[in-house]
Amino acid sequence: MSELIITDLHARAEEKEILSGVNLTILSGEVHALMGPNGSGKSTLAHILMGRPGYEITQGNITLNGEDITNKPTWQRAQLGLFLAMQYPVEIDGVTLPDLLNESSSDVPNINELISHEADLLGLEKIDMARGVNSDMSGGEKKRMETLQLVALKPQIAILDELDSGLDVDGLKIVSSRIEKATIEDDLGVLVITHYSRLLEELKPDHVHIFVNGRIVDSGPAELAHELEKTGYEKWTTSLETSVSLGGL
Amino acid sequence: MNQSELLESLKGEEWLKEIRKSALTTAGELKFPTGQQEKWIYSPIHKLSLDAYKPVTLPPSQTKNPEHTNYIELLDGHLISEANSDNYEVKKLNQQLEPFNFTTPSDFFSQLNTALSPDPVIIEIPRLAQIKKPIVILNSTSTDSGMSFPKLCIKVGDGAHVQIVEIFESNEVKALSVPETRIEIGNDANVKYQQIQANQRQIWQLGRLDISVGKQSEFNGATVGLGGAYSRMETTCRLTGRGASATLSAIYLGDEDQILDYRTYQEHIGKDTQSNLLFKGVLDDKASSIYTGLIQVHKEASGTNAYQTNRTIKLSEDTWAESVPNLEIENNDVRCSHASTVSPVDDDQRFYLESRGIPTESVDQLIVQGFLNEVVQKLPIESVNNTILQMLLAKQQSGGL
Repeated sequence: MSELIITDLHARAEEKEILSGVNLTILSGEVHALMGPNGSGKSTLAHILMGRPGYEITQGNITLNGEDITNKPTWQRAQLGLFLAMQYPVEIDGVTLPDLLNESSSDVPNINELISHEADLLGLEKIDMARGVNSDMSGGEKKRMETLQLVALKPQIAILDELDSGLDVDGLKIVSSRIEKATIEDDLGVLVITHYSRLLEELKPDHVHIFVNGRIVDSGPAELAHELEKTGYEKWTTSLETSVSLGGL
Repeated sequence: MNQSELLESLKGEEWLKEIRKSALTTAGELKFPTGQQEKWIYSPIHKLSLDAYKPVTLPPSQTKNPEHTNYIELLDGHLISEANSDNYEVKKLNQQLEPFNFTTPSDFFSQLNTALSPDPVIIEIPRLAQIKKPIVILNSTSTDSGMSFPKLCIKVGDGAHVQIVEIFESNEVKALSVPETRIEIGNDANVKYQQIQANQRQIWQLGRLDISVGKQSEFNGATVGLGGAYSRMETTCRLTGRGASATLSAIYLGDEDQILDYRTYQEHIGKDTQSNLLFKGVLDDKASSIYTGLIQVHKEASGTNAYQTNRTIKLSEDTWAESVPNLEIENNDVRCSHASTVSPVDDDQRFYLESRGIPTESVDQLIVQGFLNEVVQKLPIESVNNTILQMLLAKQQSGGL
């Protein structure tokens, strides 16, 4: 059983507060969806959880299986079982997927076999794995590639930062059902950052959180995602403004 | 020793002595270059004093390395091993009676090379020769405070196929080497050429490589630059015959306070000629690199395809790199492009790979290897690629590159 616990997390970048007290616990096998308007800090949260340089954590902490990882370098977090599927996977010329998996700490047995098996499942069978990771791939292919790495590295907790963007309907279905399968078979815990409930049709969330101005302002069951798609975030953004102005009185 | 005594001490018939004398006069007229000249801008040429070095006029009494018997070896510019073969001929011009017509570029160090080369060597690859094993040329620098002038001309006959490996290496001495290699390729020939510069750290090398490629011939050349204090290689590739093509690649790794300097000319003279240049380097510590390249398309050279790319990664903030690509095109029917970048390791790439559980140090190595891989895949002579990869890796690991 693994658990990622985020407690009262505050962070800033260049003097600007971007996380204002995030509290969230993700357990093995659970799927949490994080939804919120553009610019609310969802991707920043993903980067900070993974330890991307450039942010200052001013308060609170992050623990993974009881170990405080708040100040650990990115690669150590990954080795402890955290994974981030990036919103914009970067192209790395000359570094192949087998190179990457070989170098990563996880003992991935029979890498080539595993790659070709998963590539088939994810619709990447036509990709030449001897070329650089993400090089010359379409947006959708890159997202399938992120998923392939996720299932190959077998993390305990995965953060999916807009994994759906760039994927077509078929791709979305393939990718989300592959990850759903990992939550069942490998007990993977997932934090899904998305704007759309489409991704959540196959990858069924246990909890939906609404993220506004750097913190979770509401949480609810899976149905909340559908409600959001109909009504938008107005209800939460307005109430926040009201509370802020009331606080000002 | 004054100049005339110096020239007199070099072996050769009258015709060779005349050529040397005339070249020395021309060098005197051209004068020692200054850092203000475009050709030497950014270089540390102002730090070089020829008075600090003495020409190595006699072959050093170094015993032959038995492992080198299959090599053509020039020691401080003196031919000490010929590795004669039925497939090609090695000629010593200082023992030759009939004159040989030198082409010496109008450049101070080229003229000096012609004037002071004790033992100019011609390698003749006959017409239609198919030489399977690479011809290995070893250019060694061994004399402390010595100044040496290896001079080599490789003539490749029509239809010949040949692979050449030229290695620059040295003892742990402080010395100046001014090597010059010409490769004259006839028609319908195929030449693969691999240069490796693995000098010790106190060597100044001002090298030149001149290639001419005839009709429908193909030249695929690469250089790997690893050693030296200051190491310059000026490469001119002239595509003279219709349909001639050339690939020019380089990998250079600099660390400590090394300076690696590359100057290239892709000169398109014949119609439908093609050249493709890719130079990639990695710098660490306080190392510097200079790349200056010119694609020159003559008026008659319609149908030219010419590409030039130089990229350098800086691993430390104290490194310095300059990249100056140039085009000079006199014909409208051409396709040309040039690109150059100098940048640190990309933060996004680093974060991406680290997020896969790869420690920072390994990530940087992986990115550097991936960056160089594009050139590694183009290296022309398969049988030496493993050795080159090992040398690259050894340098990476020793210097923390």
